[in-house]
Amino acid sequence: MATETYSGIREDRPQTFNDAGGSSVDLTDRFKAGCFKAADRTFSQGLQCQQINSMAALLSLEDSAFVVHAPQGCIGCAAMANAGYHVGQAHRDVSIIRNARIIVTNLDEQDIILGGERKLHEAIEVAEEHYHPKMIFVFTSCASGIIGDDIEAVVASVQPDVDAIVVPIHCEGFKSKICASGFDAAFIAIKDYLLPKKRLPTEEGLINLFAPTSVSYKDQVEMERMLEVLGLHANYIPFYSSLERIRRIPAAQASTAICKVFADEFMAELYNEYGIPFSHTVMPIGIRNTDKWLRGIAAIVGKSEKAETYIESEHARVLPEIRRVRERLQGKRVFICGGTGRSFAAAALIEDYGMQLVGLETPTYNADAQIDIDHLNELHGDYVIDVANMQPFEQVNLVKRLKPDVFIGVAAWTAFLGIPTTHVLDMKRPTMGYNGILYLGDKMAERLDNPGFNKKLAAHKHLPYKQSWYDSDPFKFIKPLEA
Amino acid sequence: MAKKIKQIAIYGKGGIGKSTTTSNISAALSTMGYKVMQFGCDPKSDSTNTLRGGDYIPTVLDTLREKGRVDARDVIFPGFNDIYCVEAGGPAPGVGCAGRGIITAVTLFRQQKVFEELDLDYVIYDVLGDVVCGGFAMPIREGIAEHVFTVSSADFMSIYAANNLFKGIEKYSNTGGALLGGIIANSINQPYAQEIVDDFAKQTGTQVVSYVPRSVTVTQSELQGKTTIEAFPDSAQAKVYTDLAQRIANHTDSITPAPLDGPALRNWASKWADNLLAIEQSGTPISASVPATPLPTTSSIPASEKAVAV
Repeated sequence: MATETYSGIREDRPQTFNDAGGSSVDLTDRFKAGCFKAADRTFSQGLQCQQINSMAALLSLEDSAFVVHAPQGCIGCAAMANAGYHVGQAHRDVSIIRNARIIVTNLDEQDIILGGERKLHEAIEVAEEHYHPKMIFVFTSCASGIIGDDIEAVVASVQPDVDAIVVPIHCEGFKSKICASGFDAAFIAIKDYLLPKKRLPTEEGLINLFAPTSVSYKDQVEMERMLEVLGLHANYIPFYSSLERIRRIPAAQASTAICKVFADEFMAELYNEYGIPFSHTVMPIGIRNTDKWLRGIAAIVGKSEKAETYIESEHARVLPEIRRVRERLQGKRVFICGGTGRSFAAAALIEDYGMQLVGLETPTYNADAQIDIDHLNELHGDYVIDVANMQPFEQVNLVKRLKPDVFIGVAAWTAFLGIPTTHVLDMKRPTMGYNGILYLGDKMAERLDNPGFNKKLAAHKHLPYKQSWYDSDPFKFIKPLEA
Repeated sequence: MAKKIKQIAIYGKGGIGKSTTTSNISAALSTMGYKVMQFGCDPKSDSTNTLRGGDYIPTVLDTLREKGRVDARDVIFPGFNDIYCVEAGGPAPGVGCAGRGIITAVTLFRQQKVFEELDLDYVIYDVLGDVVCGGFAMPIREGIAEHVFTVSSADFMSIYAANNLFKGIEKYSNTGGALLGGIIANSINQPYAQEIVDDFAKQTGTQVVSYVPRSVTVTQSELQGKTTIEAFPDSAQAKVYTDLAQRIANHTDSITPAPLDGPALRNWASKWADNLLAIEQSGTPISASVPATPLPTTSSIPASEKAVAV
């Protein structure tokens, strides 16, 4: 039977839920009984759109230029990704830090009525002329999608006139509310336009290492270091990569990803198309997850024995250090907010430090997430889960209610509640592998010992919510959808 | 005090005779002494052809494309009896967004206060009738047309389009949009055809304003690039159009129609399919049942029975 082509829309995956809230035990029971009801928020705060995630995934490709086929406001979202790109260049010792090369077609009223294809054609030519890149990525937008500009036809017509490979990416913002759909759109385009059609001769030890935007350089180095111990070398994709390295993807011995969600569809595609095996485990945060991640890839390439020896030596090195930090963190109550992969992984990290999970915010609930939730339920019993992509209004309500000792995650809002906070995804600092866990642990302990910064913030800055909201059910706006 | 300009939108399925009817209404109103503008809202841009001897005129959107900015006065062209002719125009088939084009063109005219400046009595919008997206509903939104008429034959697809239009009107009726004046039944030469349209009007709580028979006079006029009012002013068909125009001129109170939902419309159509089959099988060839006397051109619904807003 022919399998359906993946649409690139994460909502299309079966049993995927993005709006839910409640006790972890109750949600687990409902999910396992097949009684998890699709819901939606009748009030929601802003979300990322697909376009921003597709752009963020590719902006750091060194030999590329980017054409955004949109009204000019749509590239406002690129500012954050571009700022991350600056930091990433600095960490990689790039001497002259530059902006990503982005051109927007600036679709205006006339283009919307009469079609914007001519402008897109011109913009691609301008990108070629100005930057002489090896790849030009074309990002679609809501506007170009609604009027139905034929992006593929424009790309086909301009391709003979430019040296760069022109790659259209269908990332119309309205298609999905799940960030990973934006990454999928980018990978679908990479596969269709950049990869050699046939499996290349396997390069022994070459591993496709897929990593999301938010992985810091320190974490990249840590992952590569761990792979090197096993005699493997990473083709780190797509950040700070190049056409040449992308084209080596089908030469890899195996694939793995730093994030559980990022590139999971793409790795499956690579297996189906090129027969490249892949390891899909967890994000390597915390000792248990780092072990699991490393064992996953080691097993696929026949290096399990080597991995065990290495894991043993790392445990010997790191566990005494962890015990030292553990004395300062033991029993502290934690609220965690992160991406789907990261929130679960970070929740396991607190196991290393003997902390207690009281609340967890994660964007998606599905069968894959349930595996992690089962583990966390065993460790922490009942805790609150908010299935939400950010939604700070729910988060601050929950954090105020649960009164954790420390908040781990995107702390832009809870920092104002007087609770010590620490990052797990800031694209800058280490969080992963055997070294990252020590950094994170020390940082949490420091924050708990020195909560002055957050206390002062809370004393002088108030979040915009009224007391009546803090008194309300945090999940009151989540309503089941009609069947 | 400035007089109130009567703004009317005429919708109908493509090819149903909407532009022919609209142009004849415009022509008839102008011969009655009114100052009329006909505003074509169809990317085909041929609404006003028969008011201009068969000529196409530069459209609002053509001009926008060429000049970047449009002075509405540059895209108004005189037609028969000094009718002001405008075509919104649109993108080439298969590209861009025709609906957005209509929004832009209509907004431009309102913003430049052209209707007031020309001291018009009537603005008649001739709009593609399937109301496929928000842009094609622009003329019936708040503050534009006040009354909507739909041109429909007894053909099911034409009635389907009219029913869609009713849905659009119903939606915008809550926010001060245009209401329905009635149905202009076109190409009505068979009694059963009149019955079908009458029945649809009854089902949807609306009225038939006029029955316009199919006529070779119309074809002859159009081949000359003219309306029937201009080419054959003394013909019976011209009288039909003049009566229709008079009726529209006298019309004051429109209503919110009650469109049929999907299954109801299908049931209704299938009931008529059975009826037509029965007529055919009864031995009376349908084509032979042309009535000896001319069809009435007035509404068969007495004023007292007119539907009220629902």
